[in-house]
Amino acid sequence: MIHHPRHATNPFSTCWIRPDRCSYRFPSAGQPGQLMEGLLRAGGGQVVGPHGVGKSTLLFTLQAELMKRGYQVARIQLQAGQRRLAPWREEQTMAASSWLIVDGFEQLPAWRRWKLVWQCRRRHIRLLVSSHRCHRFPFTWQLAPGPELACTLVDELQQEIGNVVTSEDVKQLFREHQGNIRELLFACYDLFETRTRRRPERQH
Amino acid sequence: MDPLVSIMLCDPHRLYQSGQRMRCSYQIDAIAAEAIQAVEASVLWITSGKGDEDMGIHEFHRRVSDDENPDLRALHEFETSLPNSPLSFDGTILKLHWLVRVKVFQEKGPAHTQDLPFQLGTLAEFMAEAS
Repeated sequence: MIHHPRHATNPFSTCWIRPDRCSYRFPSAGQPGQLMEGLLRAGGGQVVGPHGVGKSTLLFTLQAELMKRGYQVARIQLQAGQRRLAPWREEQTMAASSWLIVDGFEQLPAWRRWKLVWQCRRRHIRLLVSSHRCHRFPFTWQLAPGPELACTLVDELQQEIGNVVTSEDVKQLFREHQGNIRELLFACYDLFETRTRRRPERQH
Repeated sequence: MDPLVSIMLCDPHRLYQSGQRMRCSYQIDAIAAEAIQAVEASVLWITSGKGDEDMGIHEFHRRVSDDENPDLRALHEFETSLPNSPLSFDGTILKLHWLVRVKVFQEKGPAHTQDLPFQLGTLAEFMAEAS
């Protein structure tokens, strides 16, 4: 893992906002327990939401929580356009009641999705996926973060530096990017750079 | 409690030029000698910004606690010749940081990392010379 000098970088740099570097912020305190309980009771489920709302971040957070509870967890990240699952490292060694997390489930064609669900069921592996749309799963968690959550996240990211990006900025950016938190944070990066540059850009 | 790691560079301004020798020393406190398993010191560059991250290690030393080095806390010094590139860069989309990193591996608990950034070269001057 790459360790970064905190003071030397823009707080909205990729190294601070990558899904595996920050924990998912739930809108209310009771939700993490509710989500975990739902998943465990159903023996799997899906996290659904549009682009940039934190699905991958939530999956990383859930993965850490499941591992903390002693479960074996394997994770597969599907990229845009990836239509098949490459053999994953733990495929042969996964025990019954372990968890398989598939980020970007909607990338697979319908028959491959069905095959994966069937294989997991046959081997008693619990499947947790993220997707842009709902599929047939026993448990569904919809993500739709609001502007307040975006403000909290931005405040936390720049807590050691001071509020260079204000709540008003965040609310406006939230509207501009239609709730896409990832795009909002990229815009915050630019705003932060504009407001904190020590010298003007070189003119060519 | 985390150990205290002090890193010192020979230039107090922490500004170096390509090819220059850099002398660095570090010392560890607030931890018992027997609680340290190993210490790693490196001189490296790392990028940050809006895109993918990258890093490169220029110099690396690892010392382990043994009969020859029973106390890794004591002041330790090393020297390196800095490379010609990449130079420190503070761009809008990409930044390149040079730093000295000391990582203390403890017998129990997670490793503790301490960084000291420094500047390698002045890219603006280099660009002006090149043009």
